[in-house]
Amino acid sequence: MKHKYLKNVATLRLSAEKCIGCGKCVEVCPHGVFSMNEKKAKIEDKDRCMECGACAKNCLVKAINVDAGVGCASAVIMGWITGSEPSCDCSSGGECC
Amino acid sequence: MLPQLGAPGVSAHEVTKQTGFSVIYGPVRAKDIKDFLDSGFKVTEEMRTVKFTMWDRLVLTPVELVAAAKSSLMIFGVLFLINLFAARPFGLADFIAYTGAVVTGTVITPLLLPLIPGRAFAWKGWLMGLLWTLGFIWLSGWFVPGFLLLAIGYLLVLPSLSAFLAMNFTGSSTYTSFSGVIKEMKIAVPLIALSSVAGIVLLLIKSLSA
Repeated sequence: MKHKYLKNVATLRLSAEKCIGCGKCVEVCPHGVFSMNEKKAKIEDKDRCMECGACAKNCLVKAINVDAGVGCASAVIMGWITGSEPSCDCSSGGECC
Repeated sequence: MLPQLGAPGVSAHEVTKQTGFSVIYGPVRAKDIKDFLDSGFKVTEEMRTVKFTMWDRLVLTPVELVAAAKSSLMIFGVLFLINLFAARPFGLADFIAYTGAVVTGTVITPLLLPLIPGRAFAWKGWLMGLLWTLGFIWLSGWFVPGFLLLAIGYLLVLPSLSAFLAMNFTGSSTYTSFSGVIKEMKIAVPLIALSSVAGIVLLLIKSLSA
């Protein structure tokens, strides 16, 4: 059975003008969000995006934008409490998530 | 050659620019490496995709269960102190009701994740917690006027507890996004807090005044 998370929240944006069709985003995306269509990347299903940021980081021409972060409630709570960016970093000695 | 899931932290073109090495992203799972090498670095869509099977979810459940068990010791300590003054002390039935809600939030909800209606984890946990609490109250015969305060108290507290614990499983999941979790939490956390406080007040009234 396919997992589905909240609809219409992912911040993923792709600029078709900037895209050079290298296909790197298709390669790195762990959820098959992108497909190649006439030598351009296309967002197949934005709701599958988990905002890991792999596509944006590996896009040669910065055609992809996404507010990457950890989809983790504990990390967000720790971020709220400590006033820092939510992260999965366990090295700070806090509660590990 | 790097694992595909290294990509959120590695910029392949930047590596090439700075070191001259070119980066090839392999498959997601290590067990596919042999096929990947044999096929001349070809990765199928299946090898590229992250899954989250029932087994994957099961092996992750102890993380939250053990953390919840530790926090529970503090709650049991407080309940012990309340029991010193209580007209209706907390006993085995309360322990089972509470433990059931913890297991529902930390183990049952993650296991049945895609089968539970809805999308938000807190909602899924709340729904399962509600089923557990309703079932337990019904079996305990607490749907009678004398126990109504207790029943309503637990209906406010326990599903909220399951919801909170299930929400924490977003950190273990392979498909929840940052924006999604923030959206879910902005709605769920205030509701969980309100419901829990109201429920705890009712439980204390029942316990101390009986």
